[in-house]
Amino acid sequence: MNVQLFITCLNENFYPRTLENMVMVLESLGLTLHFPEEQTCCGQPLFNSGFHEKARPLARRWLHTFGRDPAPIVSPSGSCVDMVRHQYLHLFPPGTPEHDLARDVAARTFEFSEFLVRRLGVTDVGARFPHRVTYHASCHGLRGLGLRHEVRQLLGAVRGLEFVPLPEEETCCGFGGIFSVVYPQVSRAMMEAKVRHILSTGAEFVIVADAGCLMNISGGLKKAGSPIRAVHLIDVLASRA
Amino acid sequence: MSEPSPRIDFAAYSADVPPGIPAAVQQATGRFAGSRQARVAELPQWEDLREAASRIRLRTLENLDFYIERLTERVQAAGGSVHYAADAAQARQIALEIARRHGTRLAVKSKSMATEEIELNRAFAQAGIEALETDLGEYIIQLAGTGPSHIIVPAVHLTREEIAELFRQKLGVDAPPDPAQLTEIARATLREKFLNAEIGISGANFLIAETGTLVMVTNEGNGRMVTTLPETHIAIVGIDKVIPDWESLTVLLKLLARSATGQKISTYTSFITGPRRAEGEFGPREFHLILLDNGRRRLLRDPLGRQTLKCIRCGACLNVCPVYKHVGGFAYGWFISGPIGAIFSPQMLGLERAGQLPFASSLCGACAEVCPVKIPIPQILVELRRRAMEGDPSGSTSAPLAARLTAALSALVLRLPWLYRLGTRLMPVFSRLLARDGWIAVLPPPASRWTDVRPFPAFSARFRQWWKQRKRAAPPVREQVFPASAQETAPEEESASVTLPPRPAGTPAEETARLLEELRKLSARGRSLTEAELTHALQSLVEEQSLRRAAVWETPRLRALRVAERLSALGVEVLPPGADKRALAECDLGVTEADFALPETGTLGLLSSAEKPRAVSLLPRVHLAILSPHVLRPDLHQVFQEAKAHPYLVFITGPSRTADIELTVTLGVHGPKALYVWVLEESSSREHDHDSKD
Repeated sequence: MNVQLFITCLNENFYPRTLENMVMVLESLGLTLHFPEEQTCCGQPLFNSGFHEKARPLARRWLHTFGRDPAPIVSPSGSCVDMVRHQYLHLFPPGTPEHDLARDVAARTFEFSEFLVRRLGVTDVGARFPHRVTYHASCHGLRGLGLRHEVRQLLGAVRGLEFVPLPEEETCCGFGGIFSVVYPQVSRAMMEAKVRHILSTGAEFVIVADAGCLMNISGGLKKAGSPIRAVHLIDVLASRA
Repeated sequence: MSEPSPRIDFAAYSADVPPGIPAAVQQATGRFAGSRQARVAELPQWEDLREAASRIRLRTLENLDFYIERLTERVQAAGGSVHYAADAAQARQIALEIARRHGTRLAVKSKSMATEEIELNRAFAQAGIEALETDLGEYIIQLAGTGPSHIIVPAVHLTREEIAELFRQKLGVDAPPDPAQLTEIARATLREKFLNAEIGISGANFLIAETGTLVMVTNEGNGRMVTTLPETHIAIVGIDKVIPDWESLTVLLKLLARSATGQKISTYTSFITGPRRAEGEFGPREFHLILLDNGRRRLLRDPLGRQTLKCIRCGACLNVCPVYKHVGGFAYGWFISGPIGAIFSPQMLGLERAGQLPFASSLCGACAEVCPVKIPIPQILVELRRRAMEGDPSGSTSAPLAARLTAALSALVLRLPWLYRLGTRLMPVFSRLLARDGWIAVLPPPASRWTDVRPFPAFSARFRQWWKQRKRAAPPVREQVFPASAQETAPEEESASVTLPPRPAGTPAEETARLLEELRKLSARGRSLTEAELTHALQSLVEEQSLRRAAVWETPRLRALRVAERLSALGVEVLPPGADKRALAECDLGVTEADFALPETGTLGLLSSAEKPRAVSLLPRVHLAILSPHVLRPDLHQVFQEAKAHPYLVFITGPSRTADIELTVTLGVHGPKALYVWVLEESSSREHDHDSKD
């Protein structure tokens, strides 16, 4: 099976290791990967900030970059997938030339855990991660894409992993893109609550499956002087330690 | 509450939230959200109900003129008056005129968002009429001189000590910081006011066009006082509250309390169609409905506005909103707060005034997930952001220059892959100058808004180079190891049509057992008994509650059971028929006969007539309702089919309760403190009604 990699701008600029691990895991499943080099950003930051006219050309070029190839598109970010799957249809409503393309592409764009569990039916990728971990459910994967059990299923198959539930696992960490800089004090309060809960678990790692939340939560842990590390789900699944 | 400030400044407030607010708000919201979750889990058809509710609300709003016309017609046919207020000033004017006509000095109010919206209290005060809030939470904040901080528990931001201090200052009483005792003080103070008020002012949760019925939901019983005791009732209600029929109400009522407080149904639900029909029945002589537009018609022309007006004001979105939980209700600058406030206020007041609110969200979507009428709040927030940044239909834009410049620059870079790729290669170089251990601790404005809170990760793009090298090395391709039969994901499922069958009934014995079990959970005293046990049971009740005076409904069944005679024989003074409100207020016991009972929620349904005065189930300290098993109904649906022809119905679910002071549940804030429900087994009592065994 061919797969197109949608690496997302945040992961590209801040989490290259996660992208490399994504390639390793997908290839270990026998998939043939393609990387459309013209990709930049899906337009979500501009869209969510209210600049829809500026987001539309980005969405259009994203559709043309990935739409030519009928292969499924896989991304390490539920947030970016939610943008492509749901918000593009608002940018290109019925009657616009891109609408059909947007619908077509939406149906074959997947978040990483979604692709493994729902599309491939894979929950065990042979990972080993002998650590005590907890998990923060990112909003857009959870509520935008309805992914409530997939990550747990994948983690359940990781050897040596000890899972500790996170209090208020499903509460937003306070990132919210533009929100974090428009209302920094509120974002701070939300982030600090999240960090408090993470500390309370006594975990060594907190698993997060979206780059924005990862930036926020790992920064918050750093600020708190905590040794707990925030890692992407993919990094855990690629671990063979 | 004072006139809203010209511009709602969420930024200024949220940067400096008073310290006690987040903890108090989080305690309340956490409890409500938790109970809601438990109720939702009990109801397998929850998602079907939400879908149905969303459709009902939207369909009604799309045809609102038709339903308003029908409602108006039916209210008038029932003997009520309907007034139409285009804006807040007109609504105040109409209410004031009615009050003046009746020489009003005191108007008692039950909780109403519409009157907060039009700031009715201030207008009444200026006209020299006292408009007194009677919901305990609203009463407290009225004494404090502030607005509500939560839709359901408006005084949640105040501690018991602060409330006690307020009572000492404003009421001149010795008030200990104890929720039960504070509630008792409020009960005594407000009871006098209820008895003296010339006018009762309420809002409504729904208006049923089919019959012209006002539906009002409360827990304390103050809503019943306001609509039962004064001679005139004025209801001020937004036009968006109209629903087509009782069938729609079945759906919405199942969702409302569960979403709001996590109750199956609120303690009291009143269904009022016009003024009282008979003297001695209680209820107002005059019923006035003021339908408030105040910008709602303008919202109805916009798909966004119609979605927003679906709201049934349950507050579920507040209870799960992480932003609201950290800032509280005042940050939103108007009477309605939280996620619904962030979409409602900008549309009602305009983006010039409320343009900050759509940005006061991380778009986490928790609100939309719990909304019982499925308002797509995040989508609306994003569309309002678009209007703020790109201009709304009226052409105004409030986008700050910095935001526009940042957007323009990033849009340019992201459109040109070569420029973007150049950026990804250059940023790590720059960022190496600033970063230590992979983190940038400080950045200049505006990026300092991030680094003031937590460090920024160093730029480290390298995937493209890595990918190229890897392709050159050409890794081996392996066989597929995943099962080929994996299922496809359908991202957009089509919503199916909704059919909502009523709950099937169990056997009479099962239904009775269920009713008693629900009553127990509600702190009501339910039991099943035979007529032979009646005198003994009454005797125990009289002793347990030290009853000296009672009022008894004059129904054939209660007469046949000789309840009044049995009470007299036990030394209880029984009021003669037609007792007035003061006499009833001094009663210890009111005895009624339920016309309906809903085992699922532990609810009694009582109709009203001259023989069945409404105040008997309201004013006495103890309420005893007697019912026979044949009034048990499996679902709201059946009750409504039978009851909708009646001009008055009240649902009673447990004793009067409040949690307005620090969320401590206190029974008997306005209505009865104790509720006894006796299911009288059908033991051929009618044949032997002359045969008193005692």
